[in-house]
Amino acid sequence: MPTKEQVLEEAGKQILMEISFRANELGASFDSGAEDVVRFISAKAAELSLAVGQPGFDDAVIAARDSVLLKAAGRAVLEAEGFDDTLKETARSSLSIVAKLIPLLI
Amino acid sequence: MNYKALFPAAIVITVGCAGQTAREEVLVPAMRLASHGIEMDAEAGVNTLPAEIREANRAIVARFFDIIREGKDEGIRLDAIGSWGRVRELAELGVRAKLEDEIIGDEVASLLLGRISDFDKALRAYITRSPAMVD
Repeated sequence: MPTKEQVLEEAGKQILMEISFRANELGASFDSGAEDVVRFISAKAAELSLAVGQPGFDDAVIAARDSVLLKAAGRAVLEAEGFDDTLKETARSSLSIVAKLIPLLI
Repeated sequence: MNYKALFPAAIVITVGCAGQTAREEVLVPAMRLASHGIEMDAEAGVNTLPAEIREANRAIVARFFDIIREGKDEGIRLDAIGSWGRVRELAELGVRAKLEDEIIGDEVASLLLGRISDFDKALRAYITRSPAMVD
């Protein structure tokens, strides 16, 4: 059974792979945005590890999940502005990856 | 959302429209999901206010999150943006109150405050194209 921190890190890796795949299809660079999101997920996982055992930890997990989704979604909007309509598929894929992991985070 | 139905429109969609599509299909759902926790924080903040202004502030909070969950572009741009500053203050007040009452720990509070900040950035990303808004 993976820890919640491991689940978040895994989400970051999956999002990076998905975004990189789409970027290659487009012949465009998506690396800066993807890495930004992955770094953000790692930071949230680190913050979560500090909150283990504190009152309200479950709320902290949900807050971290929300923050990751907001960050990934915000980045997706910016990238969609700059590249191609196809990226909205990437954005949706990224979100669905995290959404699939939500039950493990709660 | 029926994405297949969007395909013919996607052929003629412009880059700018792609951004709007991402807003509607990705950003709004993310804000909608995050709204539940932030609303709880804001309600906790409302409960710390003097009784005579509590209901007015509660109405501001309720209206704001109704608009976010409705997800309509006009409502977000014209109405929600104007009240977000107050809602944010109340949410942060609520987190601090929960911390003082030892309902949550300090690291938990940090994550809750982080979510409020990230929601703020997402809302700004919704209304602007500036990359700085989500960094």
